[in-house]
Amino acid sequence: LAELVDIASLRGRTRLLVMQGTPFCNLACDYCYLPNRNDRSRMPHEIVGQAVDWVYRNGLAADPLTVVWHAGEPLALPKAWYEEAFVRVREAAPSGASIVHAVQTNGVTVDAAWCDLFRRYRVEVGVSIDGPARLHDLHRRTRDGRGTHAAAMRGVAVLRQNSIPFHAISVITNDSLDSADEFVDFFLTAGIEQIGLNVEEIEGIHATSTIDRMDARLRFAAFLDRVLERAEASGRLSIREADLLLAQMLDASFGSVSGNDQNTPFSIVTISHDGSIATFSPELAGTEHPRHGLMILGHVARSSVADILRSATFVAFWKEISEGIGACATGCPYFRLCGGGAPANKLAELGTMAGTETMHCRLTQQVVTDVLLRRLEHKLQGAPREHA
Amino acid sequence: MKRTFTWLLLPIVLAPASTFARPSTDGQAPAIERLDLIRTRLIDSVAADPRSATVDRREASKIAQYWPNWGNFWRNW
Repeated sequence: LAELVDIASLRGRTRLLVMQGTPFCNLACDYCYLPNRNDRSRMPHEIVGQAVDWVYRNGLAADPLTVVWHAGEPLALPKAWYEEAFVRVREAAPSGASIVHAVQTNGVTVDAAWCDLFRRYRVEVGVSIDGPARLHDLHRRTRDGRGTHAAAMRGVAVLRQNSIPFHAISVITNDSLDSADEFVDFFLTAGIEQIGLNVEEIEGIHATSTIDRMDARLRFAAFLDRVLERAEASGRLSIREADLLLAQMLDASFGSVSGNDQNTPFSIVTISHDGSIATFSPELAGTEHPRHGLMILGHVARSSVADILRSATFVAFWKEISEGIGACATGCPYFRLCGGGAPANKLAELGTMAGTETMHCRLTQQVVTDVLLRRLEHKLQGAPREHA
Repeated sequence: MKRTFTWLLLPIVLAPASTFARPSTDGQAPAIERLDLIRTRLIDSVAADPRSATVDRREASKIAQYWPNWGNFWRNW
């Protein structure tokens, strides 16, 4: 695994291009990992074109290629900025290339004009909603400490009025764990039917997590089990974690996993607003580590993939990440489903990407898998099932 | 991004293999140890009835539609 990466093997590998239009965010959520949310810099449109050209010119881009505008609040930029950016993307990509634009937004500034932009460019939309106001407003606040649930739900209403499909991503904190029914009731009432559950991570500048507790494993298992039970009974809630695990188990390639998108070189490419290139976990971009320094590998205007693969920085990252994957593959029964964990979480929690088990993987891989397998097992056996 | 970020280093703890899989609360072996068996039953179930409640509306083709690949990576937003 620690061998140098063969450049030919990278052809068509990049499925996700993360573009940081701006590092700025109009909110100040207390669990955010980004170090630079006050920086109002914008990615120059010249960089937008160079970034897209870079992934195609180096033969990395898969078809389709998803371009997600993120790593800051994407809607903090003007609509006109995106009008020009989308043109630059189209001009930089080869004719016939399939590109899907996406945003993950806090939703508070969504209006009809944004919906018009989303519709015209077929932008896929995710909104960050942590459940009912009581849970959401504990953590998702403005800089002066006000809750943002009402504003986010106004954005959700506008999306619905304009028939823009969207999903929600919810951060699960310690406060959520005893409130599974309240959590599900909120989404059912709000008519939000696709939900991703993200546990509050230790990552970037967010050095502690409310969910990093001895009892988190059992409580999260109970929460997830109840959420899945309610979702299933409703017949209309789709929980990302269940969908993805079932898809994995039904996929013909099951069992041949040797990594995942976060620990495979150039599966994800992240371009910071200044044109810096990063790969592996997107959260690594823009962070600085005492041992690794800045977690960037090059620049879209100056570096080729071949340059990056030869660089001491990449070699050091890949050696460490490979060791981590190898250790996970050797010792962890969840490896066939997980593929060796997330480098950003390993680095933040363990101090090295060569590590193995993290709080993040215990909750998002082990507990999720345990709960889903047991539910599936009981359902397939047709037996009554006890709660986790 | 700014270069002023200070990383909080946590202790380096490499978990021994034995910490990975824990027994379930009812005393059964962890379900992960029956992964292959459960998967076989799942595939059989889908083959017998592609519209069964087991898979509900979660066929792989639809999952890609529900969860575009980027939805799985972004957290804490």
